[in-house]
Order: sequence, then structure tokens, then C-alpha cells
Amino acid sequence: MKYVILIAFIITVIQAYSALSDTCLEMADYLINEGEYEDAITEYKRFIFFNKEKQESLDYAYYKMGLAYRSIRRWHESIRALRASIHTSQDQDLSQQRRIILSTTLIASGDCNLANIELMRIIRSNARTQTKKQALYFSGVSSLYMQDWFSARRLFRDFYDFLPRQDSKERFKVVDSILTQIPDSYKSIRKAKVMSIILPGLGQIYANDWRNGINAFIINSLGIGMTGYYFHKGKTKTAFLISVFALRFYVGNVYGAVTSVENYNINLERQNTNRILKVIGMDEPGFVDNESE
Amino acid sequence: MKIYPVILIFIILPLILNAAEPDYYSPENMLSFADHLYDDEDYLRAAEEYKRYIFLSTDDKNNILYKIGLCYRLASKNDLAVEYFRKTADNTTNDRLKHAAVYQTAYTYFLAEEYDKSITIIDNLDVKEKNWFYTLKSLNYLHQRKWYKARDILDQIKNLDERLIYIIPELKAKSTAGINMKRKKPILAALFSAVLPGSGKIYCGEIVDGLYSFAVVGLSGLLAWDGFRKNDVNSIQGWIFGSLSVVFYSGNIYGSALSARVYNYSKENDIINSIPKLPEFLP
Repeated sequence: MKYVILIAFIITVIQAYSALSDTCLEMADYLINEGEYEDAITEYKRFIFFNKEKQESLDYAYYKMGLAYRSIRRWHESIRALRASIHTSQDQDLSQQRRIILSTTLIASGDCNLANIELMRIIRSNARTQTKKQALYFSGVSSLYMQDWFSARRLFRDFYDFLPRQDSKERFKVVDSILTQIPDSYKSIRKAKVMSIILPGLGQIYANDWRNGINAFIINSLGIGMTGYYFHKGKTKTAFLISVFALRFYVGNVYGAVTSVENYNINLERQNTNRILKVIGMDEPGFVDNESE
Repeated sequence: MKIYPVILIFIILPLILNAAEPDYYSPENMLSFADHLYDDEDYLRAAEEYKRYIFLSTDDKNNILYKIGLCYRLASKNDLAVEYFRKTADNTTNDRLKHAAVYQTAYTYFLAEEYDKSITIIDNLDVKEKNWFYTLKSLNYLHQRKWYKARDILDQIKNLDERLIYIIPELKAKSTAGINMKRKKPILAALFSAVLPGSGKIYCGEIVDGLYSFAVVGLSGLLAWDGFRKNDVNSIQGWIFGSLSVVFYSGNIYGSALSARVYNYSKENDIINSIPKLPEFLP
């Protein structure tokens, strides 16, 4: 009789275990692992629709659905699913981890402002050190993309305070010096305009756009020179005709100077952001693997 | 003897737990999931679920074919939408569903900016209840900038149902606005510029361009005249500036006519862009 009870017990345990796992969720996990994201999303949605009461698995399904959407760059849907996973999760640590994933998705979608709000919530909470490190890191990155150099500097300083190693400290010095220099490296649009009004092409040259600067200088010099020449010769009508054309080039030269400075500033931001990302990439905090469901 | 209830519990418990998992892939559940996706505006996924349901179910499929068509229409997959609406119209014996499918076909063509096809479908239809079809036809005409035809059709609509009661007066107002719009005449613009260079452009509201054209054509003409006056037909200056002047002058005339057309087009677009959306047709 003892053996009968034992066998019945073993069968029960096996069946109970298989009953706790869900066919739909398993299928979804399989599909996401195979890279079939659209089909995986359908299965996660199906699971969510039929298991609204199953709190313990619902947040997981939302989370994985968010990741699937993220993989196919559908940021809006990914953000919505990740938010739902955070709201339905009972585990505080897990929620904070997912908030980090949500923030990186927000950064990828271009909504750095919202990403920073999410990350600030983690920084100000009593989250684990590793999670806070991640939040500081990504908040710094987000500030870089928003060209908020002052905040980025502060956030990276706080982040590097967590890293005791000497080489990390050295890297922070590099990042800090770049971030300190950027605000002074911008070129002024107003200055470029005035320069190009006084001497055509000078505004472009001020923005390091030598090709367009020299071009503007030659064309405008010719226009102005010819106008002056014909005036001097007493050929007023010719001078007027040329001056009509020259005026367009002259006005265009001033607008061109503005464009050159704008391009210069955009390039400056992009180059420095890339330089910083390259340096800090070595210290990117990894994710704690507590999502091994 | 007391051991049997324990064994019974061991056997029943897993069955209860297993029963907790819903039958995800039964036709009924598939249909309710598809409806949920549709309500959630995840139309392409909903269409796929409806197709699975059609494959598994033995019920009447035409309503579902119609729903698939709607999913594709709402997901802007117009070709697929037309395909499914046509299938519905061909297969169903239900008159209301048939008319709804035909209406949706015409509406999908309208959304795809294939206005003539949409109008042809409506013209070939023989139904008693024509208000929705006439409204759609008038919308097609409005988008084709055929203002008079749109108004004529709208005038034929009688006994409005409550879903159309607000839109018809608005559509009438748009067609009247299209009819009464003050258009710039390309011929007049060209004529103005032929008499006084740049004036055609000013007539079309392009004041700066008009003044610039006047200066360029005027000065080049003046220089040509000056050259010919001094050296008669042997003047190089006269020939160079004369040729330039002719090019500028004719370009200005052509440009003025074009400006009038652009002006009219843009004003008509303002009217078209303010046309209200048609409410969803319910079969």
C-alpha cells in the first residue's frame, strides 16, 4: 500500500508542476527565443487576455511582450507593455529592474525626458546599489542625448563614485573634461551673422565651413565688385541689374552662415557625445540576472 | 481503508490544476481573443486570429470575412481589405451584410484615393437605402474637386438617419465653399505679367517674387535697349541682354500662370483637408 501512495504522490507532483506551467506562455517563450517576435507577441497577448487573474505570471507576460516589441523597434507598444509589467509586478526589485529596461527603451525611442523621470524615481528610491548604478549611468546617457551637459556631468560623477577602481576614476576625468569644455565650444549664430554681413563668407569660416566660406566670399566679391565697377564707369543701369542679382547672393550668404554654425554645433554635440559614450561604455553596469523566469 | 480518500485527492488535485488552464485554441476562445484584439486596435493580429477561427469553426463565415476586411481597412491594407469585402459580398445571402460589404469596398477605394473605382461601385449598385452610398459618392467628388457634382448628389439625400444628420450640412458647406471660392485665373496672371512683368505674381499674392521679377526683366530690357540705342543692331550688349530679357520675360509669364494654379490648388486643398470624416457604417 505504501508503494501505491508513493507512486500516486510522485504522479501528483509531476502533474501539478506541469499544470503550473502554461502552454500558451511556453509557446510564447519558445517563439521569442526563435526570434519570431510577432508570433510571440500574439501568444503573450492571448495569455494576458485569458489569465487576467493570474497576477504571478501576468507581469512576466507583459515584460516579455515589451521585450518582443522592443526587438522589432515598436517603441510605443514596448513602452506600454513594460509599464504594464511594472504596474502588475509585486516584486519591488524586479519592478526597478524593469523600470531601467523601460528607460532604455524610452531613450531609444527618443523620449529622453520621460526616461530621465523614470530613472530619477529609481535614483531617489531605496533600490539596490546595482540598480541605482544603472539608473545613474543611463540617466547620464539620457542627459547626453538631451545636450544637458551640466546634468550629465553631475550624474556621471555620482555614477563613478560607485566605482572604486583607479582606471574608472581616470575615465571619469576624461569624461568630465569633455563635458566641461563643450559649453564653451559652441559657435554663436549671432556672431556668424554679423561677420557675414561685414565680410561675406567670414561667418562660414568662423564655423569652420571653409569651402562654403570661400565660395560665398568669391561670389559676393564678384557681385559687389562688378556693381561698384559699373557704377564707377557711370553704367548705372548695368550696375543696378548686377546689384539685384548680387543682393540675393549677399542675403543667401548671411543665411548660409547661420546654417554653417548650426551644423557645426550639431556636429560638436554628436562628436562629443560619441566620444563620451565610447569612454563610459567600458563601465556600463550589467543587468542583474533576476529575470530568469 | 482510510488511505483511499488520500489517493483520490492525489489523483483529483492535478486534474483540477490542469483544468485551470483555459482552452486557448478552441474556436470560441479564438473568436473572443480576436474581438479583443480588434477592440484593442491591433487589427493585423486580429485579422490573423479571425482567419484561424474560420479554419477551425463550422459556423457562418461571412460575418468573419467582413470583420477581416474591416481589420485590413483599419490597418490601411486596402488591397487586402477590398479582397475580403468582395469575398463577403460574393458569398453571403444576407442582403444587409452584402450591402455593407459593397459599401466598405467603395469606402476602401475612397480611402485609397481611387475615387473613380469607388464611384463606379456605387453607380452599379441597386439598393433602396442610398443615403450612405450617396454621401460616400459626394465625398469622392469633393476629393476630386468636382464641387458641383458633390452638391448635386448631396441635394438628393433625403430622410437622413441620425448618424448622417450632422455630416451632410457640413459636406454641403464644403461643396458650396469649393464652388464659391475666388480662384486666380492663370490666363489673367499670364496676361498681367505680359503687360507688366511681375504683376501676375503680385496678382497671385507673391509680392516679393513679383517685384524681383519686375526688377530683373526691367533692368535686362533696359540694358538691351541701351545697347541697341548706342550701336544699333551691332551692339553685343544689346543682343546679350536682349536674349536674357526674352528668357526672363517669357519665364515670368509662364511662372505667373503656374503661380495662379498653385494658388488655386492650395486653396482647394484647404477645403478638402477640412472635410469631416465619415462615421463608421454599421450593417
